[in-house]
Amino acid sequence: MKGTYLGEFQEIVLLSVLVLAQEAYGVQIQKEIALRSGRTISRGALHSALSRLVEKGFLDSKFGEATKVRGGKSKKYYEVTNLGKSALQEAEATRREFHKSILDLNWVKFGAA
Amino acid sequence: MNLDELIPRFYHRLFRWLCKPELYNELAGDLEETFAENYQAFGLAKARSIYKKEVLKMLRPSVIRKFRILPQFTPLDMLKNYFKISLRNIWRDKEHSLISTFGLATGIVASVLIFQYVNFETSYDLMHDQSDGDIYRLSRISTDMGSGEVDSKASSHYMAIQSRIVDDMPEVMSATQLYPLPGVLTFDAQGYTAENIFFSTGSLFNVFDFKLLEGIAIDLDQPGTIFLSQSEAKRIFGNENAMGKLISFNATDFPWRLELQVKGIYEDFPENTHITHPQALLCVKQVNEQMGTFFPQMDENELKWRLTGYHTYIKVQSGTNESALSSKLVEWLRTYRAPFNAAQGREQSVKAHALKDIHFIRDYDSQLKPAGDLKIITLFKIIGVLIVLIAWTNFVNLASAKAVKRAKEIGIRKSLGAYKKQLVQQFLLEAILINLIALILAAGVILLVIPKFHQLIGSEAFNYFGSFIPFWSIYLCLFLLGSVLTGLYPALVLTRFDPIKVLRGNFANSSQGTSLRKSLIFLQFTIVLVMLSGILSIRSQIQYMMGADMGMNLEQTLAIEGPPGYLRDSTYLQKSQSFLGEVERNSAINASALSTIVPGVRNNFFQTINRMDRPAGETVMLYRSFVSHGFVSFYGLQIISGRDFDPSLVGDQSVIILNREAVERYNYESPEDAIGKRLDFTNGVTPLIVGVVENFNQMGVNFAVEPLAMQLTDGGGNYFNLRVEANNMAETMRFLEDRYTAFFPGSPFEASFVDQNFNALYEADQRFNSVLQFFAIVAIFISCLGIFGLSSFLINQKMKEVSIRKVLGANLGEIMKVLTTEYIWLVLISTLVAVPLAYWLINNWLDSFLVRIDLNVLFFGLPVIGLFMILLITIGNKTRKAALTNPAKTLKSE
Repeated sequence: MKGTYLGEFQEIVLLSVLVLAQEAYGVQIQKEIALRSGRTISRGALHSALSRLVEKGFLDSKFGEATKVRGGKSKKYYEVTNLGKSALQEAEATRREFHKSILDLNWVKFGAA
Repeated sequence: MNLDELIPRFYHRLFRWLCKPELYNELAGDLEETFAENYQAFGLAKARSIYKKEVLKMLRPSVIRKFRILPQFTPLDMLKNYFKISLRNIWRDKEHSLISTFGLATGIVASVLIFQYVNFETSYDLMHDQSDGDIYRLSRISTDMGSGEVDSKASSHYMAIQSRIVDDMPEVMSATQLYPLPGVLTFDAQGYTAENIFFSTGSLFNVFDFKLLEGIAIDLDQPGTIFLSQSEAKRIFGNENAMGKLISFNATDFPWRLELQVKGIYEDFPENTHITHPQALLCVKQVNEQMGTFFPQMDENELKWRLTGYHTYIKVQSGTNESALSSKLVEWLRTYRAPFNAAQGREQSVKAHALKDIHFIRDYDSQLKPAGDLKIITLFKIIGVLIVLIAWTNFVNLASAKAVKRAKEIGIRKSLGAYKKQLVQQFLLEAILINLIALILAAGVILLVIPKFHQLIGSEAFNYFGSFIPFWSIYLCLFLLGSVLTGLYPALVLTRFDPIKVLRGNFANSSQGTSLRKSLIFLQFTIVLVMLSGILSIRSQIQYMMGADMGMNLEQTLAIEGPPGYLRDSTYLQKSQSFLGEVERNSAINASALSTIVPGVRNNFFQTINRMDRPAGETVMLYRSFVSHGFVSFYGLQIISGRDFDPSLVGDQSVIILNREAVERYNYESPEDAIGKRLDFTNGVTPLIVGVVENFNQMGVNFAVEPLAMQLTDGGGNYFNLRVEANNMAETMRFLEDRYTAFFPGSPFEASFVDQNFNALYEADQRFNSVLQFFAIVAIFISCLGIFGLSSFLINQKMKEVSIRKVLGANLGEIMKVLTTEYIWLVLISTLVAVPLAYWLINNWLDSFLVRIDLNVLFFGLPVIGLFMILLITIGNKTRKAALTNPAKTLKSE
């Protein structure tokens, strides 16, 4: 089993899957990330991230309907597992911890000045 | 409009082909959906280009499917498998693998050493660029005009040649001369002995490609100039700049001092040139002048055309024919030399030797470096090839013998559907693996033994490894090719097995590859026998030469070198006599004598001299020496007529004693007849012959005895000869050194036992012997490994036969006989081939000696016996074990 470490990009992907709720499939996720973080990513890069997240057990996937615009190929929907959610919380917590200590430091510095 | 037609078709198909099928729907669908949106938003062109980029970015390992050419596995998988199986096999049969690898590695080490030596020896003097003209050395050949016999050949020539030849002969572009003279360089009151100092010309750097690092070449033509080699400059001046410094030079052999200024630094001469690396170069004009003072009776012209010892080199226009050049030179020399030739009764002529041949020219005197021997080089080449052959032979033998052990494996593989090609690949890989391991092992060993090897051959051949990269690349290629070939044979033999026969189990007594194995062993035995015979005869020849009676008493004889010439003055003779008088009072010194010659060191003082009572033209190249009273009895020389020098006769200062050779050369009727006759030393010196001594081998038995005249010394001698007591040597030496330095302050104390001088004379032969011995041991070692490995396999194979014989009542001896007969036959057949071959080779080699041993039957018999012994020891243990095994054990196993 790979570690539960969550890369920055993976975190964004997870978050966008969460945001999209029922509508989370490849194209939508790609768009969501572009919309929110302002960076365009290739579908290939997204695929790598998604498959790794699935491997880690943070995402679940199921096949959905096929549409004409897709040339009759079915979509694959992603959903964040409970494990994924807790990993997100953990990452958030770690980050907050860091920020806090940086603020503390700043405060000390100001106080001394 | 249908979107399908707008999507870039090639990229679409490419993606479909490359993508893992299970991902295709999701990914391709997403791409197409994006394409549709982009088409709406940005138009066709942009959408297409984005699509292409997306596809290309999609090509990542996690998306691309695994391609398989064969349905079950890829070639890489199979190779991996071969590799794994090979390693397992090598590991499982450790004895076999060790023997194969060791044998091969030893073979590689030995052959690399040999070939590097051969390369080095054949690379002499090739570093000079001769595209602008060919370089020749001019050698002197002296012919007796009466008998027409050549009586001396030397690698040096007359002083005058260099100054005349360029003007007289248009094809000669430049010429240079080297006159070696040992001396002491003094800087800042500190003396540095330099054995190799050459007096030369600036054109040295035109003729040869020796590199001048600082200064200009023509400065060397100015008297008062000295050029130093890089290492010598470093020795004297350390890291200081040597240019412009003032140095003085003192000759070792006579009082002569020069004040010099350093005007050039040159790169050290490489080792593979026949010109000994000179520590310093001085202007040749200075030595010419100095020589003039030694021969006041000659005018300048006579001196120039009579004084020899100048190593002369010319560069001629490219394409000049060597023999045409030589004959033209002979004519040219005659025009100058004719009057002197007539007076001496000798034609002094000239021969041009191409630079690249010089290192292997052996029959010329006074070469700058001892010559190499082409015969030995060829012999080594052969040995090198043979050793590799032996090693590979072993390998093939062992592998094919091992085939039997693996027959079952092959049978099973075959019945499971393995192709023959696959099996060959498997075995080939195994062979190549063993070869590679051996190669790596060998490389390590070579690095370790290089210093030892340099010591053995007496030169630093491996320092020049870089110049032979092309050769070694070819060697490596050939080696790899060879390892493939040696791997191929067993592979082919092994894979020919019929699976049904093998699996039924009646394969063990088949005779696959027996005849090849036998002939390979025969080859090994023959090589080993010839080498052993060679070693034995070379050994006894050397021992014979060292132990031969040389007609003189050399027991416990110590020779102390006299002080260098510049430290001798008019009181030297008196001083040296009182030195001897004082040391003789020590009870450890039994006798003493002064002399200019000492056994084992070449006498370089010779002169063409006539009989008084015969007309000019009947001259003899007479070697002269100066000795003190008592020299004759000191060395136990045998007086065959006349008398020894007599201290009570003052007139003995001008008489001489000849050796038998001189009497014969002068055509006196008998030693008695010579007594009372006189020789003509020119300039009115006509000494009386008062005695004749039996010939003695001043230079050891392998040099011809030269005609010699001895007279009483008037200026001291170069050597103090002392007979010392064997016990308390260290104390005696201390005493001598102490007295010596008291009498001759400032001169180094150098003493040696004369028998050691003789050892040095045979150094080349001894070195040849030890090198040959070393490689013979290698060859024998590899062969033993092979025989050992092979016999243990074959005996394992014959276990059943042995057991049945035992059950039927054979005893230990009989079984041993059965198992070893084959080898004994092989030794006998090898003997039949090896003895004549060895006889021919050894006889040939011995013929190069003046005094040689007769071939002894032992030289050929002992190796055979030795080989038998080695063989029996090698296979004896295995055989005995086989013969003692309980037959029930082997018989029940099947």
